[in-house]
Amino acid sequence: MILKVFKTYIIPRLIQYVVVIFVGITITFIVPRLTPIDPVQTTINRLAAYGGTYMEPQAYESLQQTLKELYGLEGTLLEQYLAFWKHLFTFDLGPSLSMFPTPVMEIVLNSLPWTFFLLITTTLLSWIIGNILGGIAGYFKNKKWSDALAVVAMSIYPIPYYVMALILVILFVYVFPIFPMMGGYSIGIQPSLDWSFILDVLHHSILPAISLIIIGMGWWFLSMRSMTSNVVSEDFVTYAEFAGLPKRKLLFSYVMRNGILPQITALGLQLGGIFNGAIITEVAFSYPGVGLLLKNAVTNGDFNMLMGITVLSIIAISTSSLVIDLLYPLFDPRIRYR
Amino acid sequence: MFIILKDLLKRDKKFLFGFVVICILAFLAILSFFSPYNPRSWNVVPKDRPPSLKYLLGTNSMGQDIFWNTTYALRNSFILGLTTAFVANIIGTIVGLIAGYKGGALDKVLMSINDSFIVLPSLPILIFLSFSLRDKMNMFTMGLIISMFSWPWAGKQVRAQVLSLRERDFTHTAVFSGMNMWRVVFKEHLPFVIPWVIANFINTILSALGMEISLSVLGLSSLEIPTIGTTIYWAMQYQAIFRGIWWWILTPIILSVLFFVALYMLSVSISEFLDPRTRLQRIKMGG
Amino acid sequence: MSLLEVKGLSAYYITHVYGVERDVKAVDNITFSLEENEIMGLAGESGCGKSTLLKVLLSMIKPPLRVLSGEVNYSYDNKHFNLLNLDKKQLREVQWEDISYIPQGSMSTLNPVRKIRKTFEDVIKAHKTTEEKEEYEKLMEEHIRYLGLPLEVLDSYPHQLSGGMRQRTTIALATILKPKIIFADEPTTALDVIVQRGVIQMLKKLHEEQENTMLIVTHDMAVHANVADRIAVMYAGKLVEIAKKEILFTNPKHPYSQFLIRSLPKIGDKKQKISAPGNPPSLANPPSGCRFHPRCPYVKDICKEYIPKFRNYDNSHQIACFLYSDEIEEGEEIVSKSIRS
Repeated sequence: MILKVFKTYIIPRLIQYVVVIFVGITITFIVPRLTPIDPVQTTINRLAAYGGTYMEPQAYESLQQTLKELYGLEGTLLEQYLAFWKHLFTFDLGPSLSMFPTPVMEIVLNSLPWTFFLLITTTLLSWIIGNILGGIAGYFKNKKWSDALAVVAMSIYPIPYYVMALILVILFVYVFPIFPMMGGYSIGIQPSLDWSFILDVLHHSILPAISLIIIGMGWWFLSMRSMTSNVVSEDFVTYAEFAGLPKRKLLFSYVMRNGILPQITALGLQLGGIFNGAIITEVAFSYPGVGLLLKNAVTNGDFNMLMGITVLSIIAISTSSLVIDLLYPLFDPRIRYR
Repeated sequence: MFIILKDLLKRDKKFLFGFVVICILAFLAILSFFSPYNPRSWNVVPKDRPPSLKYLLGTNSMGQDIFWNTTYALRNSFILGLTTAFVANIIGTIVGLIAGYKGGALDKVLMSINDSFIVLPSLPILIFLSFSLRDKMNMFTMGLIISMFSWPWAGKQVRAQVLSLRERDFTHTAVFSGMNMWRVVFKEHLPFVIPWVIANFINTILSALGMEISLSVLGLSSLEIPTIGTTIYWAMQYQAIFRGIWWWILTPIILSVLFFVALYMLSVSISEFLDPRTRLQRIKMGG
Repeated sequence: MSLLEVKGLSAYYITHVYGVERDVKAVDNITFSLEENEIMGLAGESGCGKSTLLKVLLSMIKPPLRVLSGEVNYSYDNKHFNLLNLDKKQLREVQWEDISYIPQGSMSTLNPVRKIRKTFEDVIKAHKTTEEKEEYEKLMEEHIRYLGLPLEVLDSYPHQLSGGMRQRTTIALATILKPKIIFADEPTTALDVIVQRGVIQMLKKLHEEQENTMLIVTHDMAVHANVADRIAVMYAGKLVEIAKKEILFTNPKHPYSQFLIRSLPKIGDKKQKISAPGNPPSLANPPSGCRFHPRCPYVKDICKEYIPKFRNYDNSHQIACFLYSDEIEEGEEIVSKSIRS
């Protein structure tokens, strides 16, 4: 019986998941084909600018042909579309053009762990700490410190990620030179699994992490505070207060336990935004993750890389969002049992 | 309307701050029309001069007066923000209205698409899009592009409003007394929906400007047009931090912080004003 | 000595928002007493201040509600105190163990993410810290069974229960520590008649077997007829009549009570019912003098200017009406002026 109820929730969510990926990848497919710029021509122009050599007409023809294939621009639109999907299912994202012929997939997989590590730790930390602080602040909404913290959060949260990164760089790399400006680890050090390397990595990760955590926390703090202050005036809380329950129990088991529910859903929705912030922060710090790859791809005109990262991030974000939504029933018994 | 404005200004410090700052920034943006320099020309003034009476915010490494350049940047930011906000909210409102009123399968489909856009990571796709449209980039096109990911929030909100309004008694009364549905929408419902659209409008401006910075910093917008983002881009290109030309990099930083925080304060105070629950809370605190 | 003696109690909602000052005079100079072991019904239209009165009697006072004057004196088991003077710690000992509350809209008074069993445990633990886990369990299960509820209720979540079941569970929760006084706010509203009967039976059983005292607030006169010993009628924040049930139903003296009783349908009576003309007054801006005078068929000149004093008409029957006495209530003007400062 419980399983049956699950289907009412799980199946629609799965369908949504498929729709999202479908819509996202279709957009990725359509975008370059709608623009007036011909990626093949652009690449050739680029090569010509670098090399400046003259090419035989046949060589030119075959170069165009090869590029067309590489870009997946062969055949009719429908054929291209189907071929696109076929490649995706075999995890073939084509070769990178700036690091020819290394496949895009391989390059991305190298950078993925860095982004992953940064993203997961900062998201979890900012979500947990932000929500706890927000919950307490919301429970004591009238106290001065609650308002003061809220104003602080409101002055930090809207700052764009890149600007925050710059501020941190200026403060902690120039004014107080404590942290390194860029990279994942110091130049010249060989990656290995010993302690000094790990410490070095952490040292390099702190500023990017702080940048992400500060802004992230701001949002969770404010929304949880607002949510909690509403829950506090609900009937069951006033009744429980009257019943003499100790404040700590009220705060955690009654108020926050209910206030956290929409925050879980919100996390699923915010993942896209958090990812955006992470990659732009990586660019600011030249952190060797997906963000830096993206920047280099733009600078070098590496079309396949751009396409590949876009597709991968669509899949990654939608999947993570799905996972979170599927975990939600564990927290809300109203969904679990009907 | 003005009474509410005055009231908000008096009571809510956040609104006061936001309103004043935005007015100042708007004034500066208008000042750009009186700029003695063409923002696209380089080498019109000596390079890398620190702020002085002659060059209020100093000059940059391309030989431009930073103050006048900044007025242009602000003007462009306003244009961009307003364009995106208009386009996104009009699309979103229409989608929300249709989905809310028609309901059924159309609603499900529209909302499915709507929610997809919310979940999708916008930056990679926008980067991809901007990359492909490089040559044709100006403030308007950028605005249009960014609105591609900004409309869903409006759509969701408007639909929620419609759903709740549709079931209210006054709607039923109007429909039963023979009022055409569209008239009901415009005369009775729109006044309810509009305040939310305003709050959303400001939020869209906020996210549009944020996105612009992200895109420009990667070099994806038209780099001759001064905006907050492109200013940062050029400052970084010329290693302004390393070379100690702090006035070049600090201007966009401080400006963007002020701009964003002010917009956010405005948006928060307006939403708080509109939200009946926080209104109740304010009443409870009084006395 | 009465179990509960209320003297001159006034509590207003004082708001000051966006330049508008407003006092909602929800409880205005109320004096009455509740005797041990009786069931008193509090009747009146919606918005007359009944719920607010309960909140003050329970000391559930949160801004913008403020108690302006008066005493709420409890007296039982050698304890005598004015509820309004107790500090938080003392309140905690009294609330739930001695004085309990069944709130209005008991549909939403249980924590939606906690099993009922846990909620019960929370409440018991908050008051009796010396008992073992088995003792709690025994206490809960016995009480649930005693009230005729199925044991599965304990292992369910609130949303899994029907409205009536939730109401009865809340009653069980409120009475688990066998309180001396129980205040119930609209216990039967929003329930269908069969469930209503179940709730009323439950309350009666608790009253008989635990020998407690009850004050039941409801606008449903049928409930009063079924359950109450004495009935108090409230109008626009003030008490207008208190009488024994039989007397009130057969011979109501205050014009408002008369309207209340006469508007009740009787089987076989085909006459058209008359209800009081006009609308209940705004508590923020009540009429001058006697609050009922704009709607009263017997209005005199004095009624428009002065408030009649709530006094004894005869044994255990009190009324506030110039038809039966010329005494005027004093002190009312002074009270409202003192808040402004």
